[in-house]
Amino acid sequence: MILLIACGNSLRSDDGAGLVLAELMEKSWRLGNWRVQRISVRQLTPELAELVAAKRVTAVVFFDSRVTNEKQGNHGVEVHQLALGSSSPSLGHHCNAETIVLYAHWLHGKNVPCWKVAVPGRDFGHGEGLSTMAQEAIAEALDVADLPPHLWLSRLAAKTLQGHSTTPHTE
Amino acid sequence: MTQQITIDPVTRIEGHAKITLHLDETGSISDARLQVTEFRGFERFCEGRSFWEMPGITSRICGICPVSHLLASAKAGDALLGVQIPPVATKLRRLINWAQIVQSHALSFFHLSAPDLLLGMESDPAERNLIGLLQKHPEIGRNGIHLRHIGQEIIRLLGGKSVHPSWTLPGGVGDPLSLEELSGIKSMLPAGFDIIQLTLDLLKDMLSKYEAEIENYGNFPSLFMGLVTPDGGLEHYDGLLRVMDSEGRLVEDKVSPEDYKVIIEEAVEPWSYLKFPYYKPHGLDGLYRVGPLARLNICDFAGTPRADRELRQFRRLSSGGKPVTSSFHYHYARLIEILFALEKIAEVLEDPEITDPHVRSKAFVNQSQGIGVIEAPRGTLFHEYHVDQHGILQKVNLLVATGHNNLAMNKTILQIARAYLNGSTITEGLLNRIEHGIRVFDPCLSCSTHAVGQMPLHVQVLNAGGEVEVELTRD
Repeated sequence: MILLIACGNSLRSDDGAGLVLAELMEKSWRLGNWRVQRISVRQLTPELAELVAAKRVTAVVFFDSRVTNEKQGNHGVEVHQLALGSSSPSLGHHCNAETIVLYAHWLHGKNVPCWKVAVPGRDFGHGEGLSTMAQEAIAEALDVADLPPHLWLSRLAAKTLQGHSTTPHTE
Repeated sequence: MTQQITIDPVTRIEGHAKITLHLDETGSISDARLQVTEFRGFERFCEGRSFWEMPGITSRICGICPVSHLLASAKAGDALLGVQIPPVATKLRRLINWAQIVQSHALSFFHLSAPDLLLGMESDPAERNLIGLLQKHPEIGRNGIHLRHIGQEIIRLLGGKSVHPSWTLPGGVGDPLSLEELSGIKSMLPAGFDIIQLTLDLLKDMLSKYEAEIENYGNFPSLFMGLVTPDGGLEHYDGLLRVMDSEGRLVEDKVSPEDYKVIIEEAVEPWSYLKFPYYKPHGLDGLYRVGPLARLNICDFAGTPRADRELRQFRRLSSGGKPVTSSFHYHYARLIEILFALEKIAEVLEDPEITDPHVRSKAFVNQSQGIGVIEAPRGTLFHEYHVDQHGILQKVNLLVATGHNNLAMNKTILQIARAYLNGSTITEGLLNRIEHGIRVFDPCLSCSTHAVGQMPLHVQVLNAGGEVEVELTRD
């Protein structure tokens, strides 16, 4: 079973973009008869490690938004596979996906493929609804939504790498 | 030459602070200060809002203890409406409050303090964290995460979500408890009881290793304040204010919480955004402590069988039935309160009225002033609202748990620094011991200053001329 953990606040405009994409991908993958469970949270907390560590979970996909603007390149959905070593053990105000994965590993020896999917956003102010940038990125990701989960993730991850290697970094 | 050593920020606490140590010419600690560097201003920007919004607004003060603010705010709103809420609404509010006690105390003990207790106060900071705990003591780490999950899940079942639920409101609560939710909560309790009993036994076995810390971590006479039931029992939701001195004498008893200003005054220092409440009749010497240690000290009994048994054992830490004065024992008190909360949750779920659908009283504004008081995990929390005839806030005063402990926290830092500073050498271990002295109070600095902000991490040693002698960085 693939666990989808969507994080964000739908009352802060693009901060809810990850929630939207997760819901749409859940529907799409279920139509394709994939076993998927989605959880939506406002923030990541250590207790999620217990869900990640559950026996029936075979892969985990975190959905969130990321801050960008019109000047920066790569306005698509970015996908990264998480590696255990890339996480911080610290628990402060912000618990990130990498830390959750690390906790699950040390709690129960869990080691399954984990991915992070980030929808670009430029407006994180109060309000409902997504910016054009976020909507277009989601639409682009949905173009290949009929792919099996691992191929969808791999396709977008490759595109993410390509986007980073060809787009000049601008401040 | 006078020197100043600063720890900034203090780690593994909720919120942002720095600690400044002042050395005199001989290199001895002359003063120590916990400086809270956040400012948020809830008391000011809530003016002009409707009191109906306040539970939702004030719960955003904090992501760890939002339920406490929800409840205190709702109670202030009850007073403004002039209503008595339905009995089942009181029981449900108590239920979510006990769940909050479980999750907040579990966070404090397992996530914030256990790395120090189990991995060593002076162990390598790279390992002295939750991951280090999970690696060396996986079952304890697992237990900590699960226990907090139980509290958070109960809050989610009641309030719709575990962080910033919006379920409590003036007049009662939003929705009744369903049979399915009741069953869900009940199913989680056995694991919670197992974990807390194991943890209590573990801590009690460890205490003999911490004699020096017990002696030096905030061990001094003080007053203790909190709510008790009308017959003197342990209380977290309602009740009357009691103040006890370290000889066990009742200084104040059966004080209506609405009269808190008769006994509490707030002082201000220019070097911290956190105010300094004190017991008014004693002036600025009126240092008092709140929270788990204070609550166990001032109550005559807990009121549940297992917690009462643990309380009797806890009281043997001091002689002659006097209050336990070492702040190090906040850890122990916190665990007893988790046990108490689980027992009370189990008890209230057996109440046949707990699923009654009548959960809210309705009225318009009938009073211009309303005060809501609750025992948050960290101590007594006051919300005071003044409104016009439309319920629009004219004035807000929030007196938050961690603020009550401000004088005590400063005194604790001084005591620890004096006990462990060796000459003029500042070690990582000393810095962590001082930080742990703050952590025992489990301060919620976002609450107590209604603040947000970030400070770069650095340690500065300043000479008498204010020049930087040494600068250290902690990541």
